[in-house]
Amino acid sequence: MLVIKLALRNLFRNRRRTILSLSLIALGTAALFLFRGYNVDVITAVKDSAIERHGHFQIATEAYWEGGRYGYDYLISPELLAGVKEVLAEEPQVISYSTNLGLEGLIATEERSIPVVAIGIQPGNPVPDVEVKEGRRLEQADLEAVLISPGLARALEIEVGDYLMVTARTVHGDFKSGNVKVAGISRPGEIEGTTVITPISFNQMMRETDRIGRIVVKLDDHGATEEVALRVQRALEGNDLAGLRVRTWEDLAWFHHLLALFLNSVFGFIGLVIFLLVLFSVLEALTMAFFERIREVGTVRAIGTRRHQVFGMFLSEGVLLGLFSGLLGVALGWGIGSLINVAGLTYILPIAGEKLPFRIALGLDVAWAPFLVALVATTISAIYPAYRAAKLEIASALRFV
Amino acid sequence: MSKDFQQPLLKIENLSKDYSLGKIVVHALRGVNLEVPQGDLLVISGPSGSGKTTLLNLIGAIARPTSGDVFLEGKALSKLSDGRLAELRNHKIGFIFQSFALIPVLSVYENVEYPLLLLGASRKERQRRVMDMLGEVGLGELARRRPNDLSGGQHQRVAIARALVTEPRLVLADEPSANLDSETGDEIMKLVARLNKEQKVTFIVVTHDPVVSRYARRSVHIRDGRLLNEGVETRACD
Ligand SMILES: Nc1ncnc2c1ncn2[C@@H]1O[C@H](COP(=O)(O)OP(=O)(O)OP(=O)(O)O)[C@@H](O)[C@H]1O
Ligand SMILES: [Mg+2]
Repeated sequence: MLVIKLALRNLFRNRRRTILSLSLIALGTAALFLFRGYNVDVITAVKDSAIERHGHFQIATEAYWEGGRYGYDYLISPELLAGVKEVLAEEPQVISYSTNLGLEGLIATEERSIPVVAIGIQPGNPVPDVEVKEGRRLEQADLEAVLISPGLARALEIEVGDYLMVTARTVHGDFKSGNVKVAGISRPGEIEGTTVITPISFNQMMRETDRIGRIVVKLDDHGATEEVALRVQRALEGNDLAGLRVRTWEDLAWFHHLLALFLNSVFGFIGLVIFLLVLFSVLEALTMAFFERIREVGTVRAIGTRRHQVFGMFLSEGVLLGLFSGLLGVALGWGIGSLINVAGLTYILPIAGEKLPFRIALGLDVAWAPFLVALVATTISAIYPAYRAAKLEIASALRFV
Repeated sequence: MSKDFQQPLLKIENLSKDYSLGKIVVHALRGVNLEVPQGDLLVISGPSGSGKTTLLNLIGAIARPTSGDVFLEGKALSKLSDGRLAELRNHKIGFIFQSFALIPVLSVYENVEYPLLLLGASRKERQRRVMDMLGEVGLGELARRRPNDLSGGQHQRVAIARALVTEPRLVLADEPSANLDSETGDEIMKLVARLNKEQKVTFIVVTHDPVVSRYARRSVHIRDGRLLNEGVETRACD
């Protein structure tokens, strides 16, 4: 208690110096907080959209995942699908699932044609959920309809209601053509470049099969993904469905990983810079405090204060400085972050080419890292002056002027 | 006279202290012998650089001698660890320094309380002792002041209170009046003499000012690290 009291009083002894250190650390912490808040927001948004697109996990044959999509046997037969449905029915956390069958082919108007991948989905099923800008989503009654991205609509110069011709191979290797009507155009970013969305029944008709490619599963909780995926994989193996493999959205969403890795590395770098900045400025401030107090250390040691207590006084001063300025920085970052969120700013990310909301995630999961940077940096920089103060010889400290 | 009164409170045997400054060795103390009985007020006077502070530091267990030993209540200081010496300074010795020796961030009250906190005295005990001691040195009213708001004389009174609050066996004062005008210096020495007489506190005061010796029960002179008139009585011990 004595040690803490003295540290606290000494901290505010040279007000100008302390306020300077305090503001520097608080500003650094706030900057880190804002950057991390932005990162968390972007990563969460990307994660949510990845889950929108991929579901929480998907089930397909090993051959399907390995990419050997030729021939016939990589697809899931209706009998196997029935088995999978039984397994999924046992999982209360599965809220919905949908079957997919892809179709690779050409999509064409009278003037031009473009190679596309048509993702055949079950219309009316919430998985995957595509937001539509013009027209409407696919509905259960749709047999020959398509959802396209705005980019593709521009490239083909078509609008909602126009017809397109699709040409693809059947599972037997023959070519086959069919017509689809543009039911809707998605919002930007909802569908990737040359992908279109069709009813699975259309794709099955085109490929002349009753099989499906994969099953997309959605859960009621992001956090349960790994656990449920593992249980389903075991159940599949136990039910003679050993050829089927579960892949989670994390396995599938490479972009999410890359972005998270990139943003976290940038955070690490900025964090390190701010860490060093805080370290050296606090080291300087506390070293100055050390020189000013050499005589005083001599005095308190002469009247019976132990070395470790002197060490504690100087160290506590750094820790308290780190605590205060870290808290202040987090509060500052939090405040600025709230203002940014209220202001509803948007920005354009070059690779996406669309307006994104500029938001800062707030919360303790954002705050802990910047706070820790401030606290650890100040604590470390206090160690050396504290050590020097503790090591002082009393008699020479008392002679020091 | 009881038997243990015959053992001196402090006994110094053949005490020497060298400082080496590179190749030069300074012999700050050269074989000092001294006995200080319980209740004494010993003034050691000598010119600047004669070894007064060095001697006081060795007595006060702040530094260790090159040779010889200091015995406090018969116990050799050289045998004690640094930790035990700190404990001893806290329990048995009080220090009064020339100046700048109060902790500026603590109030007068807290400065005097400080050694009691180190001792682990209870809150009630601390309050009683600190207020008694501040009353004793005539500063009861100024308990809440900070050292910077005190005059030089008040500053030294607080230092005296802090030195005596633990009821130490021995109080060491290094030129307590050197930074004061002669009138205030006199007051401080009168206070020391009174506390010595009324509270039976043993004092050793070092000074370069021979005038201070008139407050002494005994006085000795130091020059070039040697005591000249060992144990000359100026006043009788009562
Ligand atoms: N830590 C030290 N290192 C080197 N030399 C020292 C040290 N302390 C004291 N001395 C030297 O030892 C001698 C005695 O010093 P000391 O401080 O004991 O004298 P003093 O009588 O207290 O003097 P003053 O009246 O100036 O306080 C001086 O020559 C001084 O320079
Ligand atoms: Mg001296």
